[in-house]
Amino acid sequence: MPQRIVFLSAMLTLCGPTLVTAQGSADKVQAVGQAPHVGKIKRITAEAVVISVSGRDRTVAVNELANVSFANEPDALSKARRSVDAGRYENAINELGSIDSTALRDERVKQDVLFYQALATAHLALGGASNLKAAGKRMHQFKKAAPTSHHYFEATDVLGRLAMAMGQYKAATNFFGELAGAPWKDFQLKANILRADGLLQQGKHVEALEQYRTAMKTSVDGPRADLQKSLAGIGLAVCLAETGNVDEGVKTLLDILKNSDPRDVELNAKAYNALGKCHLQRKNLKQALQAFLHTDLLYSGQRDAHAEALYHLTQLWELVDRSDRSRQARNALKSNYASSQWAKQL
Amino acid sequence: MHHLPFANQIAAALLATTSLFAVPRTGQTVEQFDEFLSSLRERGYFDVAFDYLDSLQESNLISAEQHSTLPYERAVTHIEASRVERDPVKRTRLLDKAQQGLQAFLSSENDHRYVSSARRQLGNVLVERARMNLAESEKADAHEEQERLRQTARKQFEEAQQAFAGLEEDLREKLKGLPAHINQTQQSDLHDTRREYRQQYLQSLLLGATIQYEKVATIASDSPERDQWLTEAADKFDDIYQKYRNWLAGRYALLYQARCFQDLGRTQDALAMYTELILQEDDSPSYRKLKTKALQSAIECWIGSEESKFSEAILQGSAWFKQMRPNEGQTPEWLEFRLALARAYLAGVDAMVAEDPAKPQIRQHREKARNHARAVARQPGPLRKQAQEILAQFSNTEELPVASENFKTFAEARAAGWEWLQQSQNVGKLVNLLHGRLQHVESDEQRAKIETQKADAEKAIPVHRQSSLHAYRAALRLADESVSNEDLNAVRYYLSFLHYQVADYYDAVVMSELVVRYYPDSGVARRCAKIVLASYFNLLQRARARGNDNLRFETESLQSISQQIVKKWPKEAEAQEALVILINIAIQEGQFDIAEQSLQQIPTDAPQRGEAELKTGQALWNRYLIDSKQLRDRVASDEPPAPEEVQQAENILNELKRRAKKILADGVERMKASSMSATLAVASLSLAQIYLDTQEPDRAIDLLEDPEFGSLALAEQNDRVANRQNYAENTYKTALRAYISSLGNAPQVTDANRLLEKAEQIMTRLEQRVGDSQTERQRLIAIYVGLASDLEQQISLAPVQSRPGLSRGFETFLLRVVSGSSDLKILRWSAEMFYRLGKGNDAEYGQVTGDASQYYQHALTTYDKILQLEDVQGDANLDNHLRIRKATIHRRTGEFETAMKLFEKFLTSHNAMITIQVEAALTLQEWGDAEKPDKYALAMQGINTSQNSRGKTVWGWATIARKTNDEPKFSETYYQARHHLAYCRYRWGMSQDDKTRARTLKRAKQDITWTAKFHPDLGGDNWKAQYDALLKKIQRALNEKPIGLEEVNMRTASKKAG
Repeated sequence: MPQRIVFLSAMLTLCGPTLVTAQGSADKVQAVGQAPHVGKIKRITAEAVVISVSGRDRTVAVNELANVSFANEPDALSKARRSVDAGRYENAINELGSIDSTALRDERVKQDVLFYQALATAHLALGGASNLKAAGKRMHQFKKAAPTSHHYFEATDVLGRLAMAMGQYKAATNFFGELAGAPWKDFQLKANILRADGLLQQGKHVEALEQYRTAMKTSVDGPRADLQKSLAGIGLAVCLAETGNVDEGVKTLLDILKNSDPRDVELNAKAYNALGKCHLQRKNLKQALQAFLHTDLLYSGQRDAHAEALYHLTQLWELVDRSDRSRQARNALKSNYASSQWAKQL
Repeated sequence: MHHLPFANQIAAALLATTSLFAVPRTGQTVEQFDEFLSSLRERGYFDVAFDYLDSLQESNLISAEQHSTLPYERAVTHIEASRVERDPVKRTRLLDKAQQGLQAFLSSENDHRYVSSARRQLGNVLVERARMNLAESEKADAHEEQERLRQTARKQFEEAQQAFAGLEEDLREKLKGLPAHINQTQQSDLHDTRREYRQQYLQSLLLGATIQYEKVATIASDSPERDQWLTEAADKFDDIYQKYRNWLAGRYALLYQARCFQDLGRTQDALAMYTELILQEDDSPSYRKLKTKALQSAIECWIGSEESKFSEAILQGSAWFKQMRPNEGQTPEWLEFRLALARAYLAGVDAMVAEDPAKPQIRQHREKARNHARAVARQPGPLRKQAQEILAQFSNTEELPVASENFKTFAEARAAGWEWLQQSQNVGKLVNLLHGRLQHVESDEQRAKIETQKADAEKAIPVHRQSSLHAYRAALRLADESVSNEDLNAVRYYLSFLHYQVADYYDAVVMSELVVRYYPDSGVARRCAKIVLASYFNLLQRARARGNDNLRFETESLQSISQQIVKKWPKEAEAQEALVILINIAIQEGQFDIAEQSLQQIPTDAPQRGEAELKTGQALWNRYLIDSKQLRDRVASDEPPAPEEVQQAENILNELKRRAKKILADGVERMKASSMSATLAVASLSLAQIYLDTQEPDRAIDLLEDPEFGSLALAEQNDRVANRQNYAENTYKTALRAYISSLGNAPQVTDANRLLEKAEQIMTRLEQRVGDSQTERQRLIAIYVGLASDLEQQISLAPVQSRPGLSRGFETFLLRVVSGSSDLKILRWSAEMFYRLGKGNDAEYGQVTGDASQYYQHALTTYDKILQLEDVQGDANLDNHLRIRKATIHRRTGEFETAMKLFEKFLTSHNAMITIQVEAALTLQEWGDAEKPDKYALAMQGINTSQNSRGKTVWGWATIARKTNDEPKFSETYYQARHHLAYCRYRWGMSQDDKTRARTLKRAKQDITWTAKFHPDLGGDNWKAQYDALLKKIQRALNEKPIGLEEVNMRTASKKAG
């Protein structure tokens, strides 16, 4: 045992700002639910990545991409990708910050570092932990610098969301319009739902409701499309509740929750928040509390949804005479999501 | 050192059934039932957990199998809730519920997969009960009791150990009975069952080892068994770790094994194990929890080691802290970790100060230690106290107030303001905590240390408040248009709160009133309203204390804000408080109608209603008393008001009394359920006084004797609200009046006796309360005199049938007065009262009997007592006067000889005193009436007791008449003497033989006719009627026509005619 400890202690000291590159690895391109293709990336466009595996080209469309990594990328970049996937954006920024970009020779790796820095910053901003405008600027710079990157449409998507969060709905609609120009139906569906989200956010419930209904009827199948339809269902439920059909809204949400995968954290967080709001409309305080607590306790990684849940919990706890818990929720909201729209509403 | 809280965490972690396994359970539904429930329990939201379990009864978000586990989960929730419950009674109740729930589950679900889990939880109930006893043993004072509780705990731990061992064996057998190879897809149920059994088996193993660890706390730290038990526990954990090292449970076993080593003092071995856990790459939430615990323990080892590796602790701890996720900050393991990290920074500070006090890192380390401790202190729970103790080390004035120019943004300044405010609150709590500790210190050294800490903390409070004020003021300055009104109002609220705390009421009002008036819909408006109200109220009190005459600003401001609050939040508690203030002001201003109107606005079920009723009713009653006195004074003055005016004033007063009575009665009835207050005590007494005033003494007694809130009970228990001497005295006075007054209504003699007995008891208490000094005795007698005067008045107004009872009460008082007083005036008054009582109960004819005789006797005894007084013995006139009074009483009681001796003695020296001559003649006359007719002759002719003297000692009626004739000022005496002369002659004649009788009767008749002849009006109608009646008797005795004075008229007419 002591020997093992000495070894592990030594490992602990290896935490410095040095550039450690992956040893002897190749480029990797992985499609969703598939084993990664290992070889040499030949071409990257906004729509597809082509990798040569044992002399044979494999093309993976961007809408199917799960992961792309480069042979000569620093370890910190791959760690940052994992952190972003896990919602640990501060960690990702720290990892990326440890990379000496002047030492990077591969332009694709440079772009990837830029993208993930912009993406992590954007997510933090959307969750209220950093400045929206600065995040938008950063992502815009990336998009401008890498118009053929496989991250192009994702960058467009994020820019639209940032604009929406800033209340710049016209700009957001433009970005989502651009996203709808992607050659895949699930991306088009996503763009339409995001546009409906914008309408909902502006309080145009009737128009949003129609757009959600249309999105849900779209004849696109597959897990990604199903996820988008469920997200549309959540928007639809909120619109129903806002237009007086609370029961129908609740029923829609319970159906979504019953059939969704527990790992779809974004969907579940949004669904529980929507459910909480429906219960609030009916003054069912206990049910509303339970719904928002689901987001608080199970999906706190979904920063925007978590901030929203904390906002409602702050008020709900007060209503049920639990000022201590209300104060805790308020503190959590103010300390973790100080720049969010929810914290500002307190 | 043994860490019991750590053991609690172990058990809590073990209860989280899924967290021990790296692989999440697969479910068909999204509802993450286990995770959500566990999270609720971890946060301590047990109320929500129970609601959630209730809501799931009808939910289709969970599977049928999950439905079947609901009773089990409810029981587990009860167990977990019991862990944080401090009240032993409630804790026991929760454990009882858990036990009942589990037993019910086991009896109804004997094939359920959770059967073993339920059995395990029953074992946990035993463990919890053992922990309770252990905790109680620490609180117990007596060593024997401590030992007894520890032994009970040990026994319960051992029973739990046996239960888990049995369960372990049972599960092992069950697992053996399953097929070696199970296909997850094709035999999913069997696969799940095996998984469940494995999980439970592992948990039983872990629990068995944990109990072994916890059991150590039941023996003394120097016990030889301690190391042995810890080693056994460590071995058990090691066994589990070796078998399940790839499982989360296995890693927990390693953590606990390390903890055992730490307790055994094998710090290096423990550290090696913690480090192994810390270095694992697993970033899942459940492993992060374990890692946090491991780091916390490792920090303890580092800073506790001989070479104090605080830098290692800080390096590792701060690196991990940076990775804390938003949802983790409030969890127990992170709070404990941050507390350990705060200690690490402090250890660093100590080490650096010893090395070089000027090191710049010292300040940074202190700041970080404080930040971590502050974060922990913000959360409720067992760690708060420890965090506050750390914070206390910063509570000296070396921490300067935050300078406003340091802030760049509104948010920054506001956050700092909040932090300082929290800090001041925390230090305030710490002061209380230290104050409590001072009550139980064991050594002078410890006392001195705590006192220093307390003094430092007390010094720090104003500094923190001032800092908070600076920061909040800066926030207001820095606010731009992007800052919402709500945020600004929050800052205004805290500012006014801080001003209020330091009694800057004007400043407090400025900020809060702005919010109330201009942002009444703000979330903080109600709280601001409360501050405004309280501030104005304090300003008013302050102005009064300073003797300010002009309170207009304060009262008008209070009225204005109160009215606004009532209008804005009519149903909220603030409105009720505002109404109470309006009532108070109205009362002070004498606006009783407004007070009553405001009172009616308070809902009858509002907590303030009763108190407001009492105050309003009391005010009305006080006004009644004052106005009544004024009216009495006016009536008694030289220029009394006209009867109509008096009547009108009395009508107003009666109405005032009626209102006071109604409001007080309602208030007292309403406040019966609440705890006793000074207002209720006074009001209850006032109501009793009103009942007395309205001739309802029985109701007064009921109220006074109420065992809960009756004034007598309060006075007798020496209750703090009745501690003011006047209250007890007034109570006893009122009670005395009530008992005595109700004597008139007593249906039976026994009832009357009972009341008298009570009155006697009250008097004894009153005397004990008043004290023994001369001044105090005088005051007591004054009380009795006052009461007796009231009672005398009452007797005179009472119906005839009530008088005997009332008189007996009066007698009781007077006896007390006489026995307790040597004051001449009081004794004379008492004697006179006895005399009057005697007269009041005397038929005034025939022999005196019954009560009257007794009262006369008391009067005589009292006069005797007076005659013994020094003052009297030097005052011959007074002495004489008293003896004459005695003589008068003796006469009425038939002791004529004694009476005459007294009269004669007096008249020997004061022969010309006509009034006494009259009394002496009257005595002889009455003696004659009492079957001694020869005394009539003496009554008529007088007595000469001195043979040498030519004059008579006792004149008799004839001489009295002669001496008073033609003396206008004695005309009444003259007519009396002439009448009594005739009477005595008539009576004497009637006792003689026929011859003498006729002659004497004629003389008697002549006595009257001559008188009538020379004084035809005979002294007025009264005497004329008496002369007439007597003459008729004489005429009858002479067998003449009884025409009375007509005969005289006829004779006069005939003479004139003739």
